[in-house]
Amino acid sequence: MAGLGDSLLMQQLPSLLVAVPLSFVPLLYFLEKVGVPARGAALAGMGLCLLLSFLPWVEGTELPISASPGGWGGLLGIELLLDGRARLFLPVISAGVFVSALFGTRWSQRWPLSFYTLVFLLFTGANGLLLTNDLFNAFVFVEIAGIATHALVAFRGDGDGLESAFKYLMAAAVGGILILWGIVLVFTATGTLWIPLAAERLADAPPVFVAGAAVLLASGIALKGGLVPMHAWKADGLAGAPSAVAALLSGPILTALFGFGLRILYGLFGGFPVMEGASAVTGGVEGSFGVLGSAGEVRELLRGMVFVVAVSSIVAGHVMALAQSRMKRMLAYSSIAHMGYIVVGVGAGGEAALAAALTHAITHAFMKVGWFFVCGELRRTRGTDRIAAARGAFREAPWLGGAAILFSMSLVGIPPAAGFGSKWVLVLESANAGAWGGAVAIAAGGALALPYYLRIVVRGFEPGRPRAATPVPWDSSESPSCPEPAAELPEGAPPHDTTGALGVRAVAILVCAALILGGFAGYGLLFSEAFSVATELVGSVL
Amino acid sequence: MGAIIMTTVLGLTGIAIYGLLTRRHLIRLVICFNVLEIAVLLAIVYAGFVEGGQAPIVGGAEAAYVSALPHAVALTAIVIAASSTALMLAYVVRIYRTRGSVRIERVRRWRG
Repeated sequence: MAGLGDSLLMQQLPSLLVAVPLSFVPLLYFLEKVGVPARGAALAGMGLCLLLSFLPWVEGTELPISASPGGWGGLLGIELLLDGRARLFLPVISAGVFVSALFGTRWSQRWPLSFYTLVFLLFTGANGLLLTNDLFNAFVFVEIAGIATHALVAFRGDGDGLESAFKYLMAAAVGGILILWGIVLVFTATGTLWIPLAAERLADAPPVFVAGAAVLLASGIALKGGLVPMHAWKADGLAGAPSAVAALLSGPILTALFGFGLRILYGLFGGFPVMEGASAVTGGVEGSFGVLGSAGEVRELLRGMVFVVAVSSIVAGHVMALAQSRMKRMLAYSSIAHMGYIVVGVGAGGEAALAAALTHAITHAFMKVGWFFVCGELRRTRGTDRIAAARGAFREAPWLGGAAILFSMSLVGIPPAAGFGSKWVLVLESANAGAWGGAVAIAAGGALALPYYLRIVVRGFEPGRPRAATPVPWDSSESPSCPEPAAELPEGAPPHDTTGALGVRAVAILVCAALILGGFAGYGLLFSEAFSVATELVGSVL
Repeated sequence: MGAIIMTTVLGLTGIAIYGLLTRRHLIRLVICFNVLEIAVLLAIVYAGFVEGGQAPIVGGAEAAYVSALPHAVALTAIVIAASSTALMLAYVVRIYRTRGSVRIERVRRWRG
């Protein structure tokens, strides 16, 4: 592949990664008009995007690749920047979207065009969020991804989905406003929204603007990502969503948000310095801190807040997950805890802890996507995602049980699953960096997580079926006190058992399982890539 | 001038946040979101305000140019808020049809 490194394709790759998924949004409609089925066209398009997302890994590619659609440059126009961080996360997003689209939902068979159009919009937003080098665009991409996601959460159109979507939309809209407030403060302080120039000027800005912008942007991202204390919407938001959509939300969307968060943290605010001494939760180290110099104390205060948020996310996430009787809610709370793990790694500062956080973000995406698929399969066969209803399910389908065990092991952190590696390094490196509180919380988190996964697995392998064994179509009534109107199920709902779809669903689950196992086998490679990205990020701070 | 605008912005934000935290009626929550949005829009436009500034048209002004960026951000934010509001209202209509109420305590199924 000589010459690919500096070909026109590579120069325009950042633009293509946004433009190709976006162009499929109208294209699907026209293709269907000429008789191409939406599902096939969509999967082909996602395959193409997946291929594109691997292009930066081709030997001889020089990073970062900067593209400026329209040719105005970053200051006046739009800049999309493909750096090491984006290169690491792009395949994760593309693969997550691809397997989720492959898995699909029962309703995606009924309305494939709307489903895949929305998935492509979400894909555009996620890729754009990762690549953009401009706060204005970041806001636009985050909202594009958001609106597509809300519509997908309500895709079934039943009461549960609508309730979830409304709560999620409300939380995300307020999160968007917080991000917008952060952008206003950055603009007031610097007069630009182009991240490199804004970062330069923020260095001399009054600390009050810097701290205000940092807190607002971080809270906006945390609200959208569902960290404690802004987590309340998340379980409700995921519980009513179709499984494939819940997977999209926990995999690609969280990854893109995390990537954007890193861009803000290191590109705009100069990141967290390595902690000196063993001041764990509150920080309070004095001295000079890179770019912000005088604002060092502000940053230590922020770091303290970050740790409080992270540790309380871990504890609250796991404890709440223990208390749930429905799998999707349990998985949503577990996601909150895992976001906490990642934030500990980021907050600890230093290349190694950051690299551990990056690898955990990647492995978490796939294990959570995989678990949601298992959940979707159970819902298909049992009609509900109640844990009690899983009885005997894994006995009937041992491969599903095997996948569930693998994903659980990965989430708890037991070898040979990729989650073990990333968690192990995360604990070690956070402790090394002096973040003892965080390290202890992560280690204890595994112990808290074990019982609630074990509960499902044991239940799944128990003999017999639950008493109400007849699968209820789309368990729309969880609480008998408030019966759903019958009109809620749209006319002509697909038949309950769609055997044709089982094949691809199994493939989607097995792909995730293979990635988890492969992630363990190739953990050294993954971590070294993450480490070079982390070095680049930390090195970008003067 | 600045003080008046900032007071308005903070006042609107306060009203909206109070409303978001206390109201139980879905339409009112949507309205609170819109008030919050208007407050931030006002702040954005004010962030780009230059005393005696002129429109950034090449060759058209003698005084200081005003950056067009905040206005572009404000316009985009209006479009996004309008689509979010449309989506919210669509949900409220559907929620009313399936659950028969638009009050949170009647609509809510899940707690915790």
